Amino acid sequence: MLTARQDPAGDRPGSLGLAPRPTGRGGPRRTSLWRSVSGVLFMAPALVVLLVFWLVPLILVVVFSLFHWDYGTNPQFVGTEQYHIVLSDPLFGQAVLTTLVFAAVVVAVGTAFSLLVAVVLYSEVQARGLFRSLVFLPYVMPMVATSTIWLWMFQPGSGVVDRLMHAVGLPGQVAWLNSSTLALAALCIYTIWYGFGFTALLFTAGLTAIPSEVLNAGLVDGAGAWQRFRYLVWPLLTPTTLFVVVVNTISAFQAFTQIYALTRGGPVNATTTLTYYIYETAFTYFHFGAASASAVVLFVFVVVLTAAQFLLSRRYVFYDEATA
Amino acid sequence: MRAGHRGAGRVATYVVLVVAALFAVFPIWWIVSTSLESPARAYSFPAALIPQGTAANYTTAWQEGPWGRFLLNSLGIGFATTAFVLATGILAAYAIVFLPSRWTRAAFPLVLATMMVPFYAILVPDYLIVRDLGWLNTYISQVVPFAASGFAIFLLVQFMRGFPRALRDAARMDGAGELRFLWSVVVPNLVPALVTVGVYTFLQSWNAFLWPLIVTTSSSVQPIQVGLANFLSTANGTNWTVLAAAAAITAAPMLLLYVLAQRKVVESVSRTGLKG
Repeated sequence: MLTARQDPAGDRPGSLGLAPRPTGRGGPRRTSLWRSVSGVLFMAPALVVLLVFWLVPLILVVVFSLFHWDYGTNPQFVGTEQYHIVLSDPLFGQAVLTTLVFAAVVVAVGTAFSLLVAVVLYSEVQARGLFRSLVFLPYVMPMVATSTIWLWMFQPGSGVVDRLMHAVGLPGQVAWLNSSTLALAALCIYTIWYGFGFTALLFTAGLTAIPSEVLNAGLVDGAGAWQRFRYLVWPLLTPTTLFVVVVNTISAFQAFTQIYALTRGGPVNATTTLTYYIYETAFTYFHFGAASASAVVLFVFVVVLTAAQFLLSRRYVFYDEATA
Repeated sequence: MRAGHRGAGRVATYVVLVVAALFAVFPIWWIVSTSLESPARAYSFPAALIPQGTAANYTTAWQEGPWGRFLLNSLGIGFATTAFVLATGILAAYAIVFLPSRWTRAAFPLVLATMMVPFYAILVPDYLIVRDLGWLNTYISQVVPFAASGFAIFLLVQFMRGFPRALRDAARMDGAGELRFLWSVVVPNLVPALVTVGVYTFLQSWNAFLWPLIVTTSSSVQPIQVGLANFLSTANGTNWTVLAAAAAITAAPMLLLYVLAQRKVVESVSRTGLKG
């Protein structure tokens, strides 16, 4: 995603061997036919996999969403009724709300925190490489393993979180994962912990792209660190910020592993997000039709939200050749 | 950040850095130190920060679950998936860059489109496809659906487009066929890109959870992440020192990869984009 965009059709003039060129063997016509055939053959393995397991299922999920279909029964065409059923399920509504709260907290706090870390990493500090490697570490660790340790850390009484809270005079014996609000908070903390090093890295990439003349000009004009950040860095960083917000939103909507390992969607469905709802509907209750309808709703949700973020921030985002 | 208020500013900078680094690293340190503690001592907080160094938890954990099997499964699935992604990716990217026709031009947008497909959206159809193919509870079901990747092809296309045209023409003049040119000229020059894609693919395969959770039921084919999740949800639910040892076993290969090739891992993940 950070790489330069290329013309997908690839037929820009002057690019590599793109025009069929006549060679010695068999004349232009035969060469070009031969090249088409081998090109298709070369692409075939990848295309088969991507079609069968990624693109056709995308069509199938829409088709399935129009059927009433539980495991072991015959699918029954019900049209859009499946959507009425799903949308009127109170648990679905609750899952939408939970997902929105979870995404809002993770995106707002996570983005702000990783921006702070990135700005600090970007300034002249000793051992920058070491710090960068350390904050990035959670992102490459298996989520089940790190969720297990956070589960232990969140235990009331014996867990580290409780002990640290006790040490600074906060109330102890907090059963994080047994309270509906705190369980969601615990999930947010874990998710921010897991991802902030990665998003900080995205921000550092954006910061590196800011021309140093701009910052130097600010220095010459006597702007302080905060003023330089507020009036120079922040506006120039808006394309990166938008990208980070979109990336964080999409990954918050897709969160699953940490929910499965930390809370199993509980207590009493308090941390059942849409992804977890789909998983349970499909693979605990085997309502394939309902799960497909929810998946379509979630997909539309994410697309709309992403588009809205782009549209809303159009006013605030500063696009420039040097930074975009 | 170069002049003025240097002292205070620098202190604040380092405070933020140290807090962020501690926040990131502490839980991972906590896996290691808890796993090396006796159960009694694991509960005494500041003391447990420096572990006692008992291997008992590892022995217990190793006896209570088929971790060797899980490790082998994950390694096998990871290497197979990586090999397939590289092979299908090299071939497809080569076709797009060096063998363009209207067919490849029509197919490339489809390849790019798969990058936008969220996995949860296709979970049910994919499960049913795998079930109807008779692949439930097999290695195949954990490898083949991920044997090609839009990201990998996209990235390799970018790299291949940077190839000097003269190289291709020279090879054609010498009468080298497509496969020969691909194998002896393109691939050797593509090694850094292949490592980038390979590291990322392996990492993603190692950390995969939702899909193997759905399509596997027996420990003989399950990857280590599902093994750990099952270990967590069965009787061992509160035996934290043993659980930490199991978590450490699960994380160890990734930790090792990160220590050995940290720069490459960071580059792979940030270039290839988004995990999960």
